[in-house]
Amino acid sequence: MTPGESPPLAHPAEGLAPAGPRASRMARRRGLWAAAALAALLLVPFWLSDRYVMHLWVTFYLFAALALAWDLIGGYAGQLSLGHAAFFALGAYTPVLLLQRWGLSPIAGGVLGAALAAAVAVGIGSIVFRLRGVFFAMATIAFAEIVRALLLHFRSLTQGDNGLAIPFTGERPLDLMFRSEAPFYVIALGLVVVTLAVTARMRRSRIGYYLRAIRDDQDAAESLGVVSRDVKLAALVASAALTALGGTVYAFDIGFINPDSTASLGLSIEIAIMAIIGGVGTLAGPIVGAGMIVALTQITNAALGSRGGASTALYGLLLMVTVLLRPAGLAALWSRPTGRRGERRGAA
Amino acid sequence: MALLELTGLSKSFGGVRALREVSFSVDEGEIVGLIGPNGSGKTTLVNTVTGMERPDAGRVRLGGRDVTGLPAPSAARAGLARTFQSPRPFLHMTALENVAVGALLHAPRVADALRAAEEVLALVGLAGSSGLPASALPSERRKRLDLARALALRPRVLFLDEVMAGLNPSEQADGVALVRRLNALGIAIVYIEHVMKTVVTLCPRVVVLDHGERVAEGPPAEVLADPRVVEAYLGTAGA
Repeated sequence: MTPGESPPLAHPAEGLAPAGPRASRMARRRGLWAAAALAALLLVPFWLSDRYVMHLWVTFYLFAALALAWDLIGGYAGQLSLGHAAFFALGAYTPVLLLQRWGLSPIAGGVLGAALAAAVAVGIGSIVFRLRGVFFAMATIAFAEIVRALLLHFRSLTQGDNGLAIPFTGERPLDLMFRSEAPFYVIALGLVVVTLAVTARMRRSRIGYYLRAIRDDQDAAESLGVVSRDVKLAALVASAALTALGGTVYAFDIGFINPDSTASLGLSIEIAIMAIIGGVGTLAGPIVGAGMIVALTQITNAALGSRGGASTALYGLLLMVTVLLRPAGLAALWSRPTGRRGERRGAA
Repeated sequence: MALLELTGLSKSFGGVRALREVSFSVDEGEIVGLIGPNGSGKTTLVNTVTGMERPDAGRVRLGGRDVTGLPAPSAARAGLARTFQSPRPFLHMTALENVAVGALLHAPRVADALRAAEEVLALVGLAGSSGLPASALPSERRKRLDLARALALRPRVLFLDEVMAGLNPSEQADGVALVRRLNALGIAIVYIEHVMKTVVTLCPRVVVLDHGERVAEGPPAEVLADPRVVEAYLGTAGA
């Protein structure tokens, strides 16, 4: 595929269909590698003593999970959501408020936050999925801005601008309060694994096929019996719930939330950019994109100071370069395009 | 009783009356030709019957069941399938996956759908291309792919919208044989075409549309000699 003939968000997701026993043996070997990699990553906290570096890892995992979750609707369904911060904020505020008001464990609170985000996704999805393209993106921005405005407005509940702090009251695992950063490392990594598992499963399922069909040609998909609104809604619900879980992890890792840090347009855009730069519609893409942006932010902040938005300007530049030169994303740089492999199989 | 029955079907876009009270029917196992000059409403008729557009008036019955104005996915479920005048493959999916999207209607498990899709690809002569991304297929094979997707729905009535356009004579001959083969499987076909030779070969009966109106119906030889049909295609002498 040449950049010229594909739309900016196009990506080579062909060739998901499994092919025979060789494929299953390969899948098993890949499973072993994944388990080994996971075990190695779980050992990192044992030799990493620097709290700051560990926190960077947590940030990376968190954004990787958010970008993967965004990709379900933004990449696979091709619906450019720029309002995902709203789901993140629901996932952050719900367990914090439930803990402060009723002492509910944020483990349960996080699940309730995810359920709330899923319910909101159903409501908002049935409205915004009437729109396509730019109008859809605009509607998602409006939705997230409404959530932000509500968080600012209901001060008695949310403290508005001042935000909510979660005071540290000692080591209490059930309240997600830990002296060390290591538990958050494990939790954030777990979130990545869960999100990856959901995405991988979705890709190979009926919904995954339907999503890719809708992205390429919604009318043609509908003529084949695909109820596109329901399918997109399912993807949005999964995406919203996972994004909300990210909000919960963030809130209890940082210990402070406010509307600007959880429900801003900037965060919505950042999540989308990570997936797009890394490569939408692939498992590796959003993770690579998250790693790139988190690393880049560190480097620019160290070199130029965090003021002045130098890192933001750099993201913009990186995004433009990626979309122009590598619309399939940076992850595609070191993976063989699946399309060509398919061709060879077809010719044989 | 007719399998598909259109009664007084009308559709306007703004001031343009694309379909004016069109009525005709298709019997079980029949191939009916639907011809008419460009802009006569053939594609609008397909869109209106298969759910891409809602009719303003009139009724569509399939096997005695009222399917008027059903949304496209429900129409597909009811047994109405169509191809597109210019093929619309899912470009980022392989040929096999394209067809599997259709096959998933009856085989909810992906593995079963892929197996069914493979059979359909073989039926339309695309078995060798199953692993290719649709974007790599030339236009003649994209038409076959469009057809394969529609067939995977196991339709009762299949609308073929100008499947022969742009094909060379030998490809057309293959196409005619393929349409016959599908018909022999028991699928009723509404055959929309400009290539008159294939219409005459395939269709015992044709319906002629002009300006959204049914102006003639009958065996092709008779219909093509009808002055109203000649006028529709060539214009009134001296006008």
